[in-house]
Amino acid sequence: MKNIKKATLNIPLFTLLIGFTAFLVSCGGGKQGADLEMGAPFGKESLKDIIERRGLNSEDVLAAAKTYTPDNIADEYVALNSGGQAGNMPMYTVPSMRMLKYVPICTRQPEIGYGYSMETKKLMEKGFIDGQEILWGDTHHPGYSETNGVYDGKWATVNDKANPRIFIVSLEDWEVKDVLQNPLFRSDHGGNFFTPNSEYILEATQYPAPFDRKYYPLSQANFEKYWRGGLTYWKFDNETGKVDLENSFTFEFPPYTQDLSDAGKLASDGWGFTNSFCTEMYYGGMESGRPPFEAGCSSRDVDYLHVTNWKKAEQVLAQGKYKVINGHKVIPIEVSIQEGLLYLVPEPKSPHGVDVDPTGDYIVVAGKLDSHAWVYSFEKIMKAIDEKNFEGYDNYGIPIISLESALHGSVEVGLGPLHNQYDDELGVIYTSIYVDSRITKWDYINLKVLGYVPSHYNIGHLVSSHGDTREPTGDYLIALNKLSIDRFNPVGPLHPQNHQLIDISGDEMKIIYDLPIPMGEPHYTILIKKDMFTPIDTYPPGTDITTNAKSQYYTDMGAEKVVEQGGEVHVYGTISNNSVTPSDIEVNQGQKVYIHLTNHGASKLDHYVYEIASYDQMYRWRPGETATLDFTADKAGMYPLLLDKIHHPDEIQLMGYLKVNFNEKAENDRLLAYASRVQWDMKMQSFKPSSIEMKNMLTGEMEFLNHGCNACHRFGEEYNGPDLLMVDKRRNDEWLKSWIMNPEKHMKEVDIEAMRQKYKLAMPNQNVSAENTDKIIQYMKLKSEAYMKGIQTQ
Amino acid sequence: MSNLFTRFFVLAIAWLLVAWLPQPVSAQQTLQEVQNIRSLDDQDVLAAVKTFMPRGGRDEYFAFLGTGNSGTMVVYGIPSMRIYKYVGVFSPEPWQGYGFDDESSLMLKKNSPDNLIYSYGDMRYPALAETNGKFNGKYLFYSDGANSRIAMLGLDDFETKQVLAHPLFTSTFGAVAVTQNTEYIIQTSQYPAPWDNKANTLADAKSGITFWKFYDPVGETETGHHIGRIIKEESFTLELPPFTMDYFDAGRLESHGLIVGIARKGDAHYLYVIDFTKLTGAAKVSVHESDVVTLGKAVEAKAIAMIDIGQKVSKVKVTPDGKYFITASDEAFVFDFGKVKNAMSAGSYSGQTDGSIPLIDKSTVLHGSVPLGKGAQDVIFEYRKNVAYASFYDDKKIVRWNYTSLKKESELPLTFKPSHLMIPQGLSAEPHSNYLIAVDKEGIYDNYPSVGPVRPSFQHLIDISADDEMVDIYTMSIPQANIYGSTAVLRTTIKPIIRYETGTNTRTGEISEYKTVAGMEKIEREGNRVHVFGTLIRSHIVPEIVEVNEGDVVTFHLTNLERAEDETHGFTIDTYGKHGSFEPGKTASLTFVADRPGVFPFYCTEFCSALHLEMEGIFLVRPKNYKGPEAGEEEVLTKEQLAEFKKNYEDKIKVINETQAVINSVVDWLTQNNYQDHSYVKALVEDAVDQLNQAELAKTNHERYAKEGKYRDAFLWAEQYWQYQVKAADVGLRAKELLRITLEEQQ
Repeated sequence: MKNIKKATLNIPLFTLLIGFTAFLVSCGGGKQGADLEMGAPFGKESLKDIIERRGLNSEDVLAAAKTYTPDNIADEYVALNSGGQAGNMPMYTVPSMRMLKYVPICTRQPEIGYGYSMETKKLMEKGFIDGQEILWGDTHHPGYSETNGVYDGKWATVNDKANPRIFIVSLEDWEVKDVLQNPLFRSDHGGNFFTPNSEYILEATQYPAPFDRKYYPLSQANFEKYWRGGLTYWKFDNETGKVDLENSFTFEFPPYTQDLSDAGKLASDGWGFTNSFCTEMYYGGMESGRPPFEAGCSSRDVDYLHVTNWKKAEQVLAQGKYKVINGHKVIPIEVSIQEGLLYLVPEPKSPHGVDVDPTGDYIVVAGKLDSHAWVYSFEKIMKAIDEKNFEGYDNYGIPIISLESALHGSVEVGLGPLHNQYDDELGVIYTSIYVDSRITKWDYINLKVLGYVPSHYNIGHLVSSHGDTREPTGDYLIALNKLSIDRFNPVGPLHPQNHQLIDISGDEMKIIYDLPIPMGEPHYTILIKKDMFTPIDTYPPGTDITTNAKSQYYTDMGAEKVVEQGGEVHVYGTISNNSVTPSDIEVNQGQKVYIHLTNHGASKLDHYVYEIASYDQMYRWRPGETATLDFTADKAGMYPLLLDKIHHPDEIQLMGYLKVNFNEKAENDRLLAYASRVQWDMKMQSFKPSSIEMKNMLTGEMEFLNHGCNACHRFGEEYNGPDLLMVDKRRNDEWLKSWIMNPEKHMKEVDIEAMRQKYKLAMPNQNVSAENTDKIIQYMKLKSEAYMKGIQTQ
Repeated sequence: MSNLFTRFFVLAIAWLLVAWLPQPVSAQQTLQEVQNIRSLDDQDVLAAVKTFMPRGGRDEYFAFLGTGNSGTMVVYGIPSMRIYKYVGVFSPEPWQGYGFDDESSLMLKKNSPDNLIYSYGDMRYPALAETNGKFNGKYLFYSDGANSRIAMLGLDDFETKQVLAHPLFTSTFGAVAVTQNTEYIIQTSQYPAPWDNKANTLADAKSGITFWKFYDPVGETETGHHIGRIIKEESFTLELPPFTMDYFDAGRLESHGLIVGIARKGDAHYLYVIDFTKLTGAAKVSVHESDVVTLGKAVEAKAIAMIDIGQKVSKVKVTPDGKYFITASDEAFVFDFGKVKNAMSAGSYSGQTDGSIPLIDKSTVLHGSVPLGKGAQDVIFEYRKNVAYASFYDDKKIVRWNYTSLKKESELPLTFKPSHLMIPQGLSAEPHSNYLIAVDKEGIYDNYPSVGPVRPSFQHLIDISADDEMVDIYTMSIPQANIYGSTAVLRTTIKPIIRYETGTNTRTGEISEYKTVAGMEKIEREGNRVHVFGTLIRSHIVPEIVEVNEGDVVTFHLTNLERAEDETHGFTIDTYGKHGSFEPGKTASLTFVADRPGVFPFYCTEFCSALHLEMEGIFLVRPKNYKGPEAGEEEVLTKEQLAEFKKNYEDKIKVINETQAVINSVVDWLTQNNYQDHSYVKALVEDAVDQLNQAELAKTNHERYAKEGKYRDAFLWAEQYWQYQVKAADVGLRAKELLRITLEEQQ
């Protein structure tokens, strides 16, 4: 338990314990942890005993009391996160920080059944871009629908960065209702920012690519001519949750790499703000000697904030001033310039968050490569536009508003500022600081720092309660830390994320909980008060949950039937009272089978999983739901049909059997399909020697490479370090071993010091084990020998 | 303008030097105030401090859940009840690239009868590997009750290493049991079904018990990697008449060699006892290329007997000392293994059941029975000698009782209906105490946030540390899990690794033949087959630009060169449906057909550094018979542009020097405070040095280009050098912060 802090029973703690006098008097006498045999009972403990045994300090006890939420107390908020590469949306409660739900989004999830019924499979297929099966996603930025600039508890949306799509989730049942593909982009990032009355959802590109989705050879000229960024305004119907494709449109942007956006509010309502990086329009190519993206994309001093006027864009669209690409309306850059829809403002280098304050008067941008957060005044931006106070135009002719005329001011907040959230106190803002691993609380109106709190480690986004709305509540702040290194029980090389809950109700920010996020990587989180949405427990009988309409396959009790037509078998069945009707199903091998079941259970406990054992077919029916299993009965035999009542502890129950009668032709088809899968696997594994020729390697060569010795040393030439040819003749093995394993011990030796001067580098300690060091020494001998032989034979 | 920015850079650097500012001191809230605001009583505060984990603290136990149809392992900590990880086992999971990269896909397909990746599983009762009846913390096993598979996970890296389809069963019980030295992993059928897919009547249905041979080489690999595997060829199945098979357990210590389980047929309820030591030598027949011991041979070998229990029972569990096995309904029945063994060796049977299986009269082998409540759900053991717990669903209670004296000791009334029970190491020779976990399948809480019809699963932490009372202290919700049984082991028994040896194929544990090291990245083509051998390190992917032809079969073989803890990179190509997770040292591959021409960005999917978003590249697919515009001439810089770049270069060199001074000051501080004495800090510092070592190439390049007067290239490479410095500084600062906290705590 060496990582648990030593017991620090100091004076303030005793003052905390005043409420506990009764306990302290009556309890005590618990056995002391150290005396116990491993696993033995602790015995009855008083508060003091527990605190001593667990090594808690007074801050820990307060944090425990602030977060512990027994069954008779309600949590205050629900946090909705993007799930990153897990392609889902994790949710947890605040302040008890208990994991609540993984809303499946881009990835199939059997426990909920998402992607297993015909209905949910069809929903997922709506997101298959160019027909490509995509069963995962990289969900990034969730958003809640708003009315008058505050959450209205109706909808949540999230984007998929890897496959530019938007998913719409109803807050009634927290299920996905729709999937939209972006018809132009190949990548998006700053998805899902609602305008204050949910008129639109903003989705911007991340990495630029040609809008027509065609191929163009990569060159600077082509990159600038054909590659494009953009910002899509999806027209949203806040009642139905549907997007009106006809009235949605995209601003064409230059091929800068766009990042996050935010919609204006109040004074700035009608405007959108999108930031960008790599306005250098650089592309890498390390393999061909070009500096990598990371160098070229951060070589200028500033990037550009894109300011877009969507209210005016609506008028321009009505005048027909757009072009249609892939069936979608695009406002070309020229039109935006002519009509005054798009302006650029210099912003700090490589920004991430652009966040409009609760009043809509200020816009704060945090640039990762600048130590300042910059505060823009919306009023000043408008004035600059009116007065045409431009410092110039970019290569595409877009006016660039001069920084001085738009900036309210800047504040030095720390190294690597990333994202901002607001407090309920006017002017107070929290900014995440990635490199410094902390949160800076500051005043964006009076431009001064108010305080700091450390985060562990490397905070990305942060969220404060309702902190991106017109009415932040100022209760909690959560740090979304990217690294958790030593914070939790170790669970292998892949670590959980770490979300730290911070109490911001007082003047001082207090970290009160560390929550491991056990799957995926949330990029952004939004908190919503627990009572701001009204969830349902059950559905009206026959509901298709993907449409919320009554399913055409609804089957009444007693009306169950099996219909066979055109080689297809349709089973219309029911689930009721722990059983399924019909119980047995008989089909012929090769037939396409549809099992349409209606769950007549009406209580919130009536959740059933129905499945076909060893046939990889299952779905979970919610109370009232109608859904379908559709599959081809491609293998013959008898397969148990099983029903599991989720909210009951019984083992899964046998309903009957799926009997698939053997058919020779269908069996042949199955075997052919099997053979083609095996062939694909062989292709997958077709051997090509890796970058290291593993066969014919000299003893120790692998260790030499693994420890990166080749980064500095070569044989027969000087490189970043001395030539290793015949090094074994110059030094003895013992010295070499000591040098490789503990170079710092030898740094004061005169010849070593001389070499340090010469190469301007010190030999690093590469943590080579004794065994590997021996191998490396042997390799150096063998390699020298081989080299000399090579010279002699030449 | 540029003055303004130079100032920012310098100030940015200055930040590195700023010492930690003292926090403003405000009035500290008292515990009493917090209690009042949140309506917590004193019992709540006791529960809070028993479960709250101070920052950076370690839970006492690792617990592994049976998650039902989620097909995913969930691992959490006791007593904080925080979930640490979800791991794809029977279901694909993209965060880990599981079922999305080649290595895991091949592992999943290899042992499937039709070379398919099945999409889910139903895993109810996990089992940990054992040595002498104690959990050894090396492996974890799950049975798939839906798609009839078995899985093995390595607890060194918490990854699934093996998933095997059962060659005979189409329905398996969702549990496994492990013999006391992990000689065998035992799996049974659940519902009877024919073993032949041409059979179409239940007359051909069978049941069975499979003994999967497990081989765990004594010498671990140099990296501590666990390399044990199930050996299909040395496994065998005992054929049984068509019983419905239920829960089972393996004997230990003096009952080692025996398996006990529940079997039903119609209204008949049995306990079966199998002596597998008598089956290993028995003659086998081959069915679907797997070894089967026929029932006849088993009966002949005196390897099987059954006890007619006369009523429906829910579980059967072997006591920690291996002397008894217990099953319960309204009454708990304690059976004596010694008596069972004697009956089997003496052949004192009372009759026969299906397939001439001998029956043992219940009363002759019973140690005793005790009524405890109505309809017991589960039984579990703990550290206190001969003490067991039983859960009662309808009675909403847990009973503590003694299974040798057959006395009820105490009862805990609950607010929910308990089902499955778990005590850390409770099903081993070395059970622990203090914590009892009880599952609540209904999970109805008025105050718990409702998020639609699909709710999480719940379980409660019950404090059993006191001799006289039990207290329900924590309600834990678990999403994406349909909870059944679980198991837990002392934290320190599991010894996870934090990185792989460079180039590891983590599914086989071997060095991948596709391993790639820095500077040796390459693209190889052979006809329409393209192999990309690439590397990942903060913050670039090499190669960055990859162009192929439409229809090419392309594989990206990528190796993460990082050695730093928690420096995972992810990789995907937009809209091609593949994703890989690359933990430090891992090599994995993504194969797909480049069937759509166009431009597809690729990028790192795991936030890895301040320049993570710039960790990107472009994949181009050139259409067949391409006739569009060509690349065009590269632009030539004007004199003015060149002069501008020269100035930028010189400015950047200044910044580089200033940054180096800052790095040096951080290093000095760390050295003065003996950073090397703290392993976590030391690892971070080494990592920072690694980053700086990477910078050498950039330095050589910028100096060379500057010498040649190519100032744009010189500037860009200088920029790259500075990026490495920033990354080194980032890690250095993290190390400084960690050391500062550590030193503060020591004071």
